[in-house]
Amino acid sequence: MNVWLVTASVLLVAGFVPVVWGVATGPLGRGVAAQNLGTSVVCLAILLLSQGYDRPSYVDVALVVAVLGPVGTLVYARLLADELQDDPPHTRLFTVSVVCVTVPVVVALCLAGGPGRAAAKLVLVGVLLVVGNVIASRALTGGFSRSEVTR
Amino acid sequence: MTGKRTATLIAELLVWWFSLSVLWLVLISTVDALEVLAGAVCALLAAVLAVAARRAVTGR
Repeated sequence: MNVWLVTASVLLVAGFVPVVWGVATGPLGRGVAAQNLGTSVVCLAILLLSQGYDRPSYVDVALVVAVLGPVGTLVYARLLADELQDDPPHTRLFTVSVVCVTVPVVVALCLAGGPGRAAAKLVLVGVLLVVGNVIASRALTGGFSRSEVTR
Repeated sequence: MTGKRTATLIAELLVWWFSLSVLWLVLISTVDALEVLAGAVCALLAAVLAVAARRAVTGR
């Protein structure tokens, strides 16, 4: 049990308590925002686990999650556009949390691995995660043109 | 006018091809000649699709 595995475990527990709470108890919008946070937490946990178990190929799984997580949320945003329009969720706290956790995790992993293509891949995953979250949050809150969302 | 448009198209294709090839090289685990060749071919196909998709979206 090294520091990476401990950090991944703490992140999973600390991240999934609000996710389960939001999905199980909240209104529809908060549930969608919470599941979006869930995919980000899983992605970061996989990154930490790949370093903890010394298995660089696990980063590929995190890369796929970083792409498909926000895309899945965009599908929800499209399908639930009418319901979300009435009661748009507050996603700012979730997005800020993801950014505040992603940046130190990716920087720490890059420092641990040293410069090279692996570090570039980690930065790519981090950027995808942050940008994907910002776009997904904006779509959930109706930040994009309403005509585009509901057409 | 047509020549200028063709030049723009080819320039856009080359930019896509270069960017996607770099992305491929970053994401693969071992770099050897076969991987680079496969990446270049896949990136070219993806570049053609990207140019076509962008033109379709912008309605030109």
